[in-house]
Amino acid sequence: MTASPNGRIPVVVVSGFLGSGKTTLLRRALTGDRHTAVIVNEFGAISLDHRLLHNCEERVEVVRGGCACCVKRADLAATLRTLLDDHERGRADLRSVVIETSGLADPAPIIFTVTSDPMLRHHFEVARVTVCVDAVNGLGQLAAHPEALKQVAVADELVITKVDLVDANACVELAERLSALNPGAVVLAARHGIRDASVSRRPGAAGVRRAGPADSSRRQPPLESAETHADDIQSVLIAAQEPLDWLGFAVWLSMLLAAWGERVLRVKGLIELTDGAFVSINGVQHIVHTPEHLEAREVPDGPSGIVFITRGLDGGRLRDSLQVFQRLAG
Amino acid sequence: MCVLCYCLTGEEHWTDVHPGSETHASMRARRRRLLTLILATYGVEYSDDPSGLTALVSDRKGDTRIVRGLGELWAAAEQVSGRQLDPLDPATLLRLSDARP
Repeated sequence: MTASPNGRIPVVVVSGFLGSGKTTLLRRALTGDRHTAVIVNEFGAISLDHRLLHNCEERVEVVRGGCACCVKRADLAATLRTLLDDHERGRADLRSVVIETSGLADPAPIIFTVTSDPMLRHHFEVARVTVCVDAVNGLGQLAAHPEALKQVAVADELVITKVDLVDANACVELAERLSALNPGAVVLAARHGIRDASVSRRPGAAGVRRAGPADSSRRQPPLESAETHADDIQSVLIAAQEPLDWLGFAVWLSMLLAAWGERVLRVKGLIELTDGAFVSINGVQHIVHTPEHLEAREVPDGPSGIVFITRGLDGGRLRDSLQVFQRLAG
Repeated sequence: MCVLCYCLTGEEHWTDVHPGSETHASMRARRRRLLTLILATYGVEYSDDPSGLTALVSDRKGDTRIVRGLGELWAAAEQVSGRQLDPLDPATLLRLSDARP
């Protein structure tokens, strides 16, 4: 992985429940890599033979007026500053950073730390959140531990580990469950820490496609929503049949997150704007990454839309509310 | 700090990104109009400076907060109105549906 087009150093957050195979995956992925720094919570539990290995003991600072996700990991901020200092003084050639969380950690404060720190945000960016899910115990952990559900909800990439220990049907069942929980994430599998393409699902498998040319024979509603439920988590896909007004969308989403950010575990998607531009949106609770402007040629084919992973928010009401704001802004 | 107006600028909020081709002036004017409409349904008055960097939210008795961008707006508007600003509340949506853009 190399620096992003804006020159920031990519940060990959690797999370997953206790014993889900994070370290095995990392060990394989980083063999021979001398330019990726690895930040772990504790040395004792890890056996990574890595030159740029940093330990940081979790130390959090609660942001005044913030919610549970608006917690700054002071330990992490200090470690990233040290890494940057070494890089800029020529003591290390840093091209990417991997942060391995502890098994019970919530990835949201890590994302908040990187995106909100006045200095770090100009030098680092969260490239993706990879979450490992154990093929043997994953379904049980998702049922019993809200921490595991939250990790899955905020992932960009879900890696099913230990697939050699279960039969193919169990693996497919887990992949389906993960896709239902987080339709915006890629689902992959890993065998002994090596990625295996046999179980893979592209994001958006729950089925919303970007609007094609308008069908003049049938008037379609401007916004459609589809919901899937998994326990108390709902995945809501909102598909725009017409391009959206950016102002109406941004004002609506910022107001929604201010009111309900703790219940919006994830928002991710691609929207087409009224002037033909495309913008990719990526947020975790109250934290929204800087939206990316994409040219039409950069927009991938296939399913797209806006996915909201929420606790207890009604999909129809989300859609209706966005529609009202679109009308007001227009 | 802006060297021309001595205004303290905060960190850019994600909603300050301007991805389309609309001019900044047009976007600012529409934003002012939209926020005025929304906040009026809670009895809150909104006004901003020409740069769009800072804004004032006030109740009808003049209790006022200065905010920098949407990152600070909603919490300040809740403070002056004493109400929760909820875009999913059916009564709010009904009032906004009746509002004239």
